[in-house]
Amino acid sequence: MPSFRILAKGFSLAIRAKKRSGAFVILFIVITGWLILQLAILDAYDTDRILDARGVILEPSHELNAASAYESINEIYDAVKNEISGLYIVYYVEVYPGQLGLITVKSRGKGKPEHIPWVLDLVKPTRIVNGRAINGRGEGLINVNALINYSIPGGIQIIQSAKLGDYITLQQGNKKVDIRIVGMYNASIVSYSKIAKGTENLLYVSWEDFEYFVEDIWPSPADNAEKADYVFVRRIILIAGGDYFSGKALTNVESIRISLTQNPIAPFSVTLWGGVDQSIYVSDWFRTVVLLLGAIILGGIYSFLLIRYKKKEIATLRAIGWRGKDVLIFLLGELIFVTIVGFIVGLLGVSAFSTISNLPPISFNTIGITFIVILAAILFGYYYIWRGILRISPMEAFRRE
Amino acid sequence: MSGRPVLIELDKVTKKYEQARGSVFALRNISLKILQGEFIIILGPSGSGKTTMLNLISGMDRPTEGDIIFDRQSILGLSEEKLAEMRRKKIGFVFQFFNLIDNMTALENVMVPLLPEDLSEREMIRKAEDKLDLVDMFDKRDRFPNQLSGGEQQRVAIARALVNDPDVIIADEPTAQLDPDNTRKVLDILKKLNRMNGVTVIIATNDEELVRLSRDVITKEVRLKDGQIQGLRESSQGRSWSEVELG
Repeated sequence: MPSFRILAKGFSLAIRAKKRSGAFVILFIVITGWLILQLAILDAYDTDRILDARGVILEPSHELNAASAYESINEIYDAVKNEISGLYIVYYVEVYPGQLGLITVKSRGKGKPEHIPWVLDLVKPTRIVNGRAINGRGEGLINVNALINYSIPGGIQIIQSAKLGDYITLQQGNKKVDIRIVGMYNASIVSYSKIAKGTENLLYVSWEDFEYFVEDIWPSPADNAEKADYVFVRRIILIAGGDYFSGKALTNVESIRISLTQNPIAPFSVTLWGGVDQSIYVSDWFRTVVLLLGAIILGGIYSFLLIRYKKKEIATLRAIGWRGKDVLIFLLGELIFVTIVGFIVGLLGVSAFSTISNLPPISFNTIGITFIVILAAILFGYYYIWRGILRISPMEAFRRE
Repeated sequence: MSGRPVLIELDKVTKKYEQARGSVFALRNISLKILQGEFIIILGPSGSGKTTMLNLISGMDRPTEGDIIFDRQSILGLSEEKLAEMRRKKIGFVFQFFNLIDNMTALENVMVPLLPEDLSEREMIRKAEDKLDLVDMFDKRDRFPNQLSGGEQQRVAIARALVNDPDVIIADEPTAQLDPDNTRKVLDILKKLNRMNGVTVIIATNDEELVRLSRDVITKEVRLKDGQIQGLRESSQGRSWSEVELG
């Protein structure tokens, strides 16, 4: 309890010492905000920008069902398996002719589950204009302004719009799957027309829901959705392996592109590829490290100034009987206040800014790393403050000014 | 006075500092007994060793030779933690430059020595307000140091020194920064504490006027020069002064 009270006193003094702490709060806001942004930029190389950075897209030259494509995909995988970190297939199945289709993304061979939300640019979280990305089974994404037009016998038409929170139930007998619309994507991008191929509305679902629909609900179910003749392969996405730092990712993208362009595996051909210049990545990484160290050093500078500015105060507190650890907690209160306020405001600022502008998404990893950096700054400050306290003798309290 | 127990005893205390040019003696072979309830003035010019003596008495520094007994316990064997506890619980400090914390109100400043104690907030406030009342600063308890005059700041500092009900108040040039009127007020408070509450008061100063103004309460007048006691006078609270022969 006394320690907590001393810490709280340190907080309140930081608030009162507006000139000193205010300047550092602003510096911490700037540095943590910038660090969050920079970490988000690095993070985006494996999320939002993964296709630009290490993706190679293959598309079939004609409509191709999963049964026919199965072996070709295996061939592609074998041809590039040493250069890729994952192969992802975009499957399509028609639900109502011309009106509603299901799409999903499935990895084959090696593939990372965390990449799946990002490899299809149409439905990646940053493309969602309303709601959020799907989070497993029973959830779906549909195009904005979805209108499903059913023609039933007798010439009657039912026009059904799908909105956020609505359920689309696909049912055959007693087997059904309920998909709740949790987000809506923009259908005006090129990928939509390439994948939809004339179908008005595409409902993006998890592979598990897709598989259940194809293997259990479809009128004459297939044993294996990946070999069903009524499931179509609309796109293959290859994600190159290797790290950006050494340039291996770029080399692999190039190698995959050359391999599949010079020796195409019909009917797939390379339609788009990415690749990040090593120097751009290195400079992004370097900036991040500089900011990371900057935040820690800023904690040290603040601690240095705190010790310098409060030398007499520290000596007085020690003279009147505060133990070293009491003084430490007291000064840490100020440091923790300044750094944590800087972190929270910096985070809120960047988060708010990222929602209204085209900034990369801020992941929990980014927040976590930034928080750890702030803790490191506090720890560095703690070390510096403790050293300072030990150096200041209580006898300084008597010293003439 | 002689019937009172000894609170602090300096036994052949020497303090020397090693410097590049050799050893410098801040205090040489000082022996002094301070009884409970005494009002002691340590008088001497700058550099005579007054502050060193206060540092040693309060356990902020350790003697090179000799021993210091505080409340029947040698401080030589005490850890830093124990010494801090001793200062917090048994000694109140009054500094020349008041040493108040700028961003704390008068009340908060007085509460500072209590913060490491296991007391409720209410109890701390009550104690601090009592002491502020004692030094006639209760009405200004919410003011910050820069909103107070020098005399008022020193009275707040005295309240801070008293808040833990110490056995002894150690004051280093407590009136050096004050005008004559405030000097008298501060001194009156220290005298009152000594007379009414029996608090031992030790003042280090080079101001003869302070000695004159305190004549009615002084029990010992220690004159220091070059780290040695040049003269020691004892009195029974201003009456019947006697020179003590130095050994």
